[in-house]
Amino acid sequence: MTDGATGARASGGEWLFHAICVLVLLFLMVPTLLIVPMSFSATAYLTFPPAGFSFEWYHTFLTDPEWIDATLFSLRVAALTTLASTVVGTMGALALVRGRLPGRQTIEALLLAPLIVPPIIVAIGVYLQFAPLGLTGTLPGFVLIHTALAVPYVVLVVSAALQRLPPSLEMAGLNLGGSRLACFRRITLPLIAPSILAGAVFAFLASFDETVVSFFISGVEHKTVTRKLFEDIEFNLSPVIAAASTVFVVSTILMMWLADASKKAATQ
Amino acid sequence: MLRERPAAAAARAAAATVSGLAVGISEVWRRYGPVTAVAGVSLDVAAGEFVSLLGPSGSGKTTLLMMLAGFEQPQSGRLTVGERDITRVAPNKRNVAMVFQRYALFPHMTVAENIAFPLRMRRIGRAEREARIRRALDMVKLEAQAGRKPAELSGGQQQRVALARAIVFEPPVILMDEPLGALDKKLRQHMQIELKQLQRRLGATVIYVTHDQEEALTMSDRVAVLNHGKLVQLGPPRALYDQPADAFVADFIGEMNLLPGTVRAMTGELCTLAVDGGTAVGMAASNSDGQLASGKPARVAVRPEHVELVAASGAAQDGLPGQLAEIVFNGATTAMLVELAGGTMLRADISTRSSLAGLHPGSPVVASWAAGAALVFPGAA
Repeated sequence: MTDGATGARASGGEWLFHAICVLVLLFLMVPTLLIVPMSFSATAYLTFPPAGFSFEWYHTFLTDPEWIDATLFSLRVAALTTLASTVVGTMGALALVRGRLPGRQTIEALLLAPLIVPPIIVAIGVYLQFAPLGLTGTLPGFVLIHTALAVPYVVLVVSAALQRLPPSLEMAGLNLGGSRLACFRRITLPLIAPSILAGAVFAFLASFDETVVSFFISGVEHKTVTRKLFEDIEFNLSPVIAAASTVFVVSTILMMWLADASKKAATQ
Repeated sequence: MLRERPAAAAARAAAATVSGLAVGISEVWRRYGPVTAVAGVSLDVAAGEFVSLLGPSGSGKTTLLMMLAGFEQPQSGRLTVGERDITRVAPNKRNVAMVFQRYALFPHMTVAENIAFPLRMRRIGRAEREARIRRALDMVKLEAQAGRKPAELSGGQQQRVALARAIVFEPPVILMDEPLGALDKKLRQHMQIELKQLQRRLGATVIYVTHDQEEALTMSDRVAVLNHGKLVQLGPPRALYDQPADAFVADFIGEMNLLPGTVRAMTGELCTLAVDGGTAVGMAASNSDGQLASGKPARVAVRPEHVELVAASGAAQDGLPGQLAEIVFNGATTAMLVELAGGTMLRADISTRSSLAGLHPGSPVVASWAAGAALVFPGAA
């Protein structure tokens, strides 16, 4: 009978644990999930609960030239940022994990600084630097600063993968006659590729989601979609914001799922 | 070569015949801060020779091997392969193969792709490459596993792949870093013999690092014993076993009784010592040059198989009196552990067939040995 009693108690504790987990998840997700029904609203302004049902706001988002321009600009910035930060971040991780750098810890701290410094501080600093150089509101300007902000994610993910990889593999490659470059290309790179891909996804999202710095350095011509969202919230508050957000949330989930699936495929 | 059996000759012809090159290590030093890892080691390995670097951990054997592979740099000294000075040559330009402790197989490549790697790096054409891979796989008996990934193989099979990958480019020198350390005992003994046969067939020079003295004695033409970064003794296994240069080698190689005592008298090379419970005899170690004078501390070293035991009769007997403490059955031999009068333990290995009847723990016994079977080393423990 004692068995039954402890079993009941254990499952009672388990039940409570699950309940808390569900509540925490709800707390985190509800604000995002609320956006979805609001995006199908038939009213001309954001309301909750939404009244009526229409695809009108999706239509607006996909046809309004301002929204299209902002979205395409953000995608271009994010794509170039992903490319640049993946290359720079992977090379940085290699140097940090495999190299014998003097002052390694200082370099590591500086690399990760953008994750710690408040974005508004970065934004003001960047604006003051970029304005005299004419880099504000330009594609190179955005790519430059977004790369700096995205590199830490790549460095973190790729460093972790390199630390798990025994150095003896690269030593064996050298010993068997491979040059350093050949060893990297044929041994190290294929083995850390899933992590590089995961780092690239993080970098893409870090750029695409980036709001504060983008708010400061966007121009009239070139603005990111985050800046456009911000402007619309301030002046229009139409459900097109909800529609745009829903599109971004869904595509983010898809990307994360893809990165995860590729990582799983690689480890199998 | 003329007397080779036909089968062996055929095997030799089928194998990619490699002629080994001599390896020279001269006056090599390596310090890490206050720690001296390698202290002026000089060692010449002949072409086609199998030499083991044997020593406890921290003796410098692995550092020495890493220097030969090019992953560590000596601070002074010179390394040569054949006529070529390789002291400052990059690891990938040395043409010296290495078998790593945990094999270091590339997990994303199949067995065949792993073995192909050194050939691809040398830009060897496809037809030649495939022929060589087949030959290497055949030599390590892994033809059936060519398409598998390393993770799908057993430890012993992974070891063979590592070996095939190391020999496929026909290196004149193969370095091995405790390659059998991860295998269980039975498989290890089997692989020792196979490795040795393979090396003979290839004719490659092998430098083999191990901390397992039994392994070193089994496989090597010569063994280099290292301790605290110094080369203590270099010689064929039998010489190391019979004529250890010092008490460290005596203790490290095989089983050895080391009894501390005080020199009583020297008669030529014959040394008489006062030890626990009586008087012992032995021959002065070859390099003890005059350090064994009357009254000086010394240790007498005698192998357990040279110790003779008789039951104490009560009458005066030559030898060291003691009490049988333990009888340990080891198969072919039985170890008799004797506690001498002052508490020192002495081990005698007796053939199990002639195992002394009537002796049991607690029996009073007398232990002795022929003077020629024991060595006396100067100095206290």
